[in-house]
Amino acid sequence: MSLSESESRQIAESAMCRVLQTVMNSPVMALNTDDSRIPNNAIPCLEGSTSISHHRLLCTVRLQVPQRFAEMAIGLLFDPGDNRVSKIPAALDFVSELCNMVAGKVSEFWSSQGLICLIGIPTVRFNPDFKLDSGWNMEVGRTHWFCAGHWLGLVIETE
Amino acid sequence: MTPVKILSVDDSQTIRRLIGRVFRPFECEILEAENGEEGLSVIRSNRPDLVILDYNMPVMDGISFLRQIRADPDLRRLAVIMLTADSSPEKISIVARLGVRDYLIKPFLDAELLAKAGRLVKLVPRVIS
Repeated sequence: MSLSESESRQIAESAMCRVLQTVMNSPVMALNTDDSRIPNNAIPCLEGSTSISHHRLLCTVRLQVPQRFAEMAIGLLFDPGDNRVSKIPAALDFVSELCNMVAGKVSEFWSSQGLICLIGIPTVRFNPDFKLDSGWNMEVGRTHWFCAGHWLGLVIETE
Repeated sequence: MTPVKILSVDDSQTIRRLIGRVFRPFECEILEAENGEEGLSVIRSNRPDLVILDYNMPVMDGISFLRQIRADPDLRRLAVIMLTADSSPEKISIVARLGVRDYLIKPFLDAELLAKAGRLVKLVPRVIS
């Protein structure tokens, strides 16, 4: 079972808007693949990944978030005096949870199709050389977003 | 007055901190656990009034946690709100059968969580002297 490009974009749009607007309280803009504003320099990025599975489906959700976006979000969400964790583990956990929420919204689509899926536990990796423009058109189900001054990427792959 | 004790059982520290922030204006003691197993241990030692529980966690998930507390005569009436990214009606039905009092889908608004918690425990505004 797979998604067409337009289905994938529609699901991504619904998921990203609902999650980011609630968490960040900030508007989210979807970008076209040929948008000239997309930066071509490498940016340190955190990439959250999780699976949505059913016996007829395996869907992977990968959320690409600049590290500075995650750090800014933590600064906005929590007290500056809350020093229980250092910045990097907090940023990793934030991206993991953001990925989990986006996967939850993607899973709603499959649920509406009668497929009750299991959502996996997200993993997060650090990518110091992430480039938004590389592989822009090469990856199926890839969409890009602008929120609170940062560019974000979302890949939804289905098998 | 004894503050209301609220236990957040979630593997995400982000969510546990968000819950702490939501209840900060009220006379509450916020307890935390990273998974169901740790949650059971905190419940037995601290007797919270309300548990805000994630579904999908390593070590012990929310369902196993619920089955354990419902099987324990001392804990079976404990108020639980499920807080999860998973909104499938089947999962909601499973946890409802396990006595979950309410269900909240992530991401959540502070007001939604406060409204649901306020129906189960008495939230008294914190007086700042």
